[in-house]
Amino acid sequence: MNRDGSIDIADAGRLGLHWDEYFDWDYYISELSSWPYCRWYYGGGPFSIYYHWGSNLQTPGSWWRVAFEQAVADWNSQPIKPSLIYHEQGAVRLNTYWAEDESAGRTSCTCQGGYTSACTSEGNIYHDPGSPDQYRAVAGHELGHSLSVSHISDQIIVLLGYNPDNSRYYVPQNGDRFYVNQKHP
Amino acid sequence: MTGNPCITPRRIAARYCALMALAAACLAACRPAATPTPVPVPTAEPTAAVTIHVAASWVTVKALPELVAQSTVIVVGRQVGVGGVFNAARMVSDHSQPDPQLYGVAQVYQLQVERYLKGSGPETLDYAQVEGYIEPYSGEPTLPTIEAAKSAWGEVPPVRAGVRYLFFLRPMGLGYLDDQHLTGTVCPSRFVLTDDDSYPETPWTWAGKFFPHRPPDELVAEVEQLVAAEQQQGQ
Repeated sequence: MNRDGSIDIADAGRLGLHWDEYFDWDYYISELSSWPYCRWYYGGGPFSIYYHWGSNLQTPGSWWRVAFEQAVADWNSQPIKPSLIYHEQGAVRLNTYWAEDESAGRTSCTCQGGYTSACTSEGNIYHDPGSPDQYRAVAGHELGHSLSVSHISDQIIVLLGYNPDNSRYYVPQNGDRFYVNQKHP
Repeated sequence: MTGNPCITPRRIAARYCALMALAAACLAACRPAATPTPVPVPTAEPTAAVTIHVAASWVTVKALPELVAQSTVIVVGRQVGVGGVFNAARMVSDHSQPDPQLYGVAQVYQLQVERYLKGSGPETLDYAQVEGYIEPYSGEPTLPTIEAAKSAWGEVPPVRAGVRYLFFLRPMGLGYLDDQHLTGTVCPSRFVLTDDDSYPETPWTWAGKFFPHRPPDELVAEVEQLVAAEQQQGQ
């Protein structure tokens, strides 16, 4: 048992628990509310979030462009309320940047009155994530932030949190879906 | 209460409807004859401040040999000064030019080197790390803007004075900086060394899972062994 009340995957396996049974949802829901506190405005049913390509990803075919296209499809195949739809003036910009830091990607969102108005999700081309699936994992992680989910602080394998191998886990996992649905129930 | 308030209960509804009729009559009498003013669409909090939230994912290694192999310079040292900032975000098409939209706030620190475990260099060196992003920006950002950007991101811990660190470094600049600066290799690029403990200090939340607490001498000794093994292979 961890200090925060959660249980590691290995311990849960020994106890014969399904991950839903040992994940302390309430604790992490409160953690999640710290960032971003915003969510997209919607009427309670399925809704669209429009995205567009930034200046560095106008041309199809680059690894990052392909990765974001796959990540959009990955999130759109999930049982969640928001759908990502292309529109040239969409509120979410998908792009790349070049910066000499340790970041693989970054997302910034603008919030007002509790609602998200715009986001930018970008991959850092200074680093080479590795295989196409690893690019896809980073793109999916950043897009998850644009769906209003912060980093998930748990031992469970998720795209938006602990990922022991992003060449193996490159599409949204159960925990990722859970948090998007918490933000947009 | 649900439904039309003028229907139930009857007595309250009668008073309510009468009041509404009176109010409507007053409003009609007082309203100017000109074109009605557009009614603003109500929002949840019309005066709420706009806030920017930033999160990043990190390039990581999960074992010490990988970290040693990817680092050009490895030192034990301390922060002895805080310098200025520069833009570490460069144009994708031309790295010699700063990104016109994005300002990566690279904070410079002066490090006093106690020991070089890998590579060599002066006793003090310039170390820089990106601690925030400003987007969009124009001209050199002001101090409040820089501090706001660092605060909005808040994931990269500053290098603290008085703390003994083990740094895993690589040169940065690729020609766009006048002076030689070093930066962290990949996460976790530095470890805190206390008298009896060592642990990674990094924005990567799960670094401790792969680099657990251990005695500092043991960590430094393993790095020295790995560097020696690398040098033997290189000969």
